Amino acid sequence: MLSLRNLSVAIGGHRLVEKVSFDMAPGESLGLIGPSGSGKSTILRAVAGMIDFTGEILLMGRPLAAWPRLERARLLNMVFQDPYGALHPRHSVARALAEPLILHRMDDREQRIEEALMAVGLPLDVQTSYPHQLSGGQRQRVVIARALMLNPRLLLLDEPTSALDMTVQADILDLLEGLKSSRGLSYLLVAHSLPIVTRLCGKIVRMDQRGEPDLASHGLLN
Amino acid sequence: MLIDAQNLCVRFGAKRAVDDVCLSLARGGRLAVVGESGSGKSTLGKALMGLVARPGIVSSERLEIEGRDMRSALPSQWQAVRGRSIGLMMQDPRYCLNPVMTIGRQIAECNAPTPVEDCLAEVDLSPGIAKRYPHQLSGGQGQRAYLAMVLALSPQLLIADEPTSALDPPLALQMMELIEKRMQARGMALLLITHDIDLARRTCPRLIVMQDGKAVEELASGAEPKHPFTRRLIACVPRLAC
Ligand SMILES: Nc1ncnc2c1ncn2[C@@H]1O[C@H](COP(=O)(O)OP(=O)(O)OP(=O)(O)O)[C@@H](O)[C@H]1O
Ligand SMILES: Nc1ncnc2c1ncn2[C@@H]1O[C@H](COP(=O)(O)OP(=O)(O)OP(=O)(O)O)[C@@H](O)[C@H]1O
Ligand SMILES: [Mg+2]
Ligand SMILES: [Mg+2]
Repeated sequence: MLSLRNLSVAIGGHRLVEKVSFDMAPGESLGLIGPSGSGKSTILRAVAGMIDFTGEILLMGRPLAAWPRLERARLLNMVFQDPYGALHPRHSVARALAEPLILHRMDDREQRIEEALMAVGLPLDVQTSYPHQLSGGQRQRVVIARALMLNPRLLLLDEPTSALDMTVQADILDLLEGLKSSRGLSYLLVAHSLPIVTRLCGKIVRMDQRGEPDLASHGLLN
Repeated sequence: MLIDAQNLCVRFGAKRAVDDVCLSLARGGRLAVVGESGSGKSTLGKALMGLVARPGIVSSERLEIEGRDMRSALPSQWQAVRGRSIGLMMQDPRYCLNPVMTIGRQIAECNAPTPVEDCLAEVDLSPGIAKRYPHQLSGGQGQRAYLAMVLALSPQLLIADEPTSALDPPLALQMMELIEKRMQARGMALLLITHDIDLARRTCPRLIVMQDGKAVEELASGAEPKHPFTRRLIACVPRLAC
């Protein structure tokens, strides 16, 4: 599904990530853990094609840059660490959810949107709300719903549940676990809660303070 | 009383986001507000800072801050309360930092008695962070930079809305210890808004449990919860761990 070979990222002379390598088979999920500032979000941004990097990122055996943008966007989607920034403040929830469908010329929009909202446990009437009218947890669920819209194969999740209360966290985890088995979805998951990582992922890579993978942690769970 | 709110309501159209909540907090006191997503916790925090924007309507039988009646306070009177009387750590901290100003300058503008580097060191950030802009920080760094800024103003009360959600457990503990230290050194009071009932019980002697805008239960941290919803919140903790 996804392979990283000596992935390094530097911005303005700062080394954010140093030589990270790992492999994920289809349907397999991997958890990235490590202290604040160790480069976890940066790795996700590189895989999502948002920033420059050196080394190799292979998506289904093919270099990231060789994928047509739209095709890649269908295959892989990302849930960002701060949900407020991820939603356009002046677009309603319905519009935020419809956008990927319009971009990819998909039909049955209303039905797909309703299904996604139900999947994340939001009432259908939130469609008319704007981000500032939602609670933190509701915003996060909108972002997850949007990421599921195109039926991706690989989901990049950056602290997907840390803004959520325990009851909703448990629901979202059930949801993510269910999608994993029903759709064969893979997750590249960043989370600071180890129980969450171990529940969803069979593999773990621990990053250290310098943005380097801590090799001793490889296969921690296997 | 530092804060005394009786029958506080916040309405958005027909929706009562906060419905008849009473809470009071003395100088140096601590109180936690827990509850499920969408139950009105953040809205309650904003109402206490005069930050509910139109079309939201705030009403109450009493709303006093440091003895002053704030029910029909002017924007300038709220402005005087914010920062020095009450510091608010919002739920999306990176969004609250000024995107076009370096972290160092934002902290310096709070006129703290301590140098910027010390403010940063307190939240475990290196001095180099001062030259950065918010988008150049990681999630956890942004949350800590914002905490540094709020604390630099030495508020009487800190309203902390999910202050450690972006931090891993050891760092979260360290930030709570820092907040704790401020409470002891300067008598700062704390209103902790969190979904983490464990954290709430460890930090505060009293909890208010919110559901659907209402305070369904107020209890001592050590007490057995009576309300079924509080029990459910507690029961969810081990469910995650499995
Ligand atoms: N645009 C940028 N310019 C310079 N440095 C940056 C930039 N973006 C991020 N950084 C730095 O790169 C490092 C890694 O950041 P990243 O966001 O990947 O960390 P993280 O592991 O996700 O941390 P957290 O758990 O706090 O979210 C941090 O030290 C951060 O300050
Ligand atoms: N500006 C607004 N307009 C309309 N409704 C709003 C507005 N702000 C909040 N609400 C609604 O009020 C309710 C309470 O929101 P609030 O943000 O206070 O919840 P919360 O308890 O902090 O939840 P979370 O744990 O998810 O952050 C939610 O149903 C939300 O949709
Ligand atoms: Mg991050
Ligand atoms: Mg909230």
